[in-house]
Amino acid sequence: MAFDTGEVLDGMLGAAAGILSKEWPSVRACVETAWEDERDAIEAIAQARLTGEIDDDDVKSQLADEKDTLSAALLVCKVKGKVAAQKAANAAIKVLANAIKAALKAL
Amino acid sequence: MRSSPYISRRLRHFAVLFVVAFAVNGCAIKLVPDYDGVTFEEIIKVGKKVDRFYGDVLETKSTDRPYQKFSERYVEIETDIRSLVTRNSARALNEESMQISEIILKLWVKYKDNHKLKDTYSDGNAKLDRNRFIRLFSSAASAEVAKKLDPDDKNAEKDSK
Repeated sequence: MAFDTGEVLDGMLGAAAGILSKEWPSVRACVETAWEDERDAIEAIAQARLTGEIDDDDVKSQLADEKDTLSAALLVCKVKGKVAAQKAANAAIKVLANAIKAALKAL
Repeated sequence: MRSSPYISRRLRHFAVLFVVAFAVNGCAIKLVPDYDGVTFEEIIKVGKKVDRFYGDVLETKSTDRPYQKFSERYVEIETDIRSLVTRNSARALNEESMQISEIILKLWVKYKDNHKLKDTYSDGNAKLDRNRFIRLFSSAASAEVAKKLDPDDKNAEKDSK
């Protein structure tokens, strides 16, 4: 019967790895952008304090809010990571389904 | 009459493959919800309202920004953000978007309470808070857009359109 488990597993792994290598740069870029935006925001807070637009209490509060804002930006990257994992898993399942269909036809 | 062991083994193999094929065909892994265009439009709409609010605050003379002047709009926008939180929390597998909308709500209420307490809103804080909300709504929109999958990556039978 035409069902080589090793070959099917290799195919599944290849499909999943192909998707992940395609999707990963977008997840990495998302994290990098989040950090760059955070750096700019912290610089803006420092600048506002230096020019006297805000006081020390404001700085403390602004920095606390930045923690939440960075968390939100990183949550986007988490969604992108989950989407990549979902695509990879489903590509592997598709390979398995096709291999089974082919094996059934051969019977 | 008893079938030969060869035929019986083949039949058993066929049955196993048939069951596995049946199971695999209907099985797609789902880690995120489907993209929701209505939620995306809502994010853009509320984000625009918040930005307009800050535009108006900053256009008003800094010595003439009592809380009462803006209280109605604070309440209106808070209602819109709460609706966004409810919409996100009602969707399965949507933990991240729900958390982002909760962060937006938390900061909106915090700034509203600060404005009420101080009865003014300084230029410095208003500018920083405005930019923060731009980033937060951008995060909310990006999280929704990330859920848009190619037709090949969707389970056409199970996913909602």
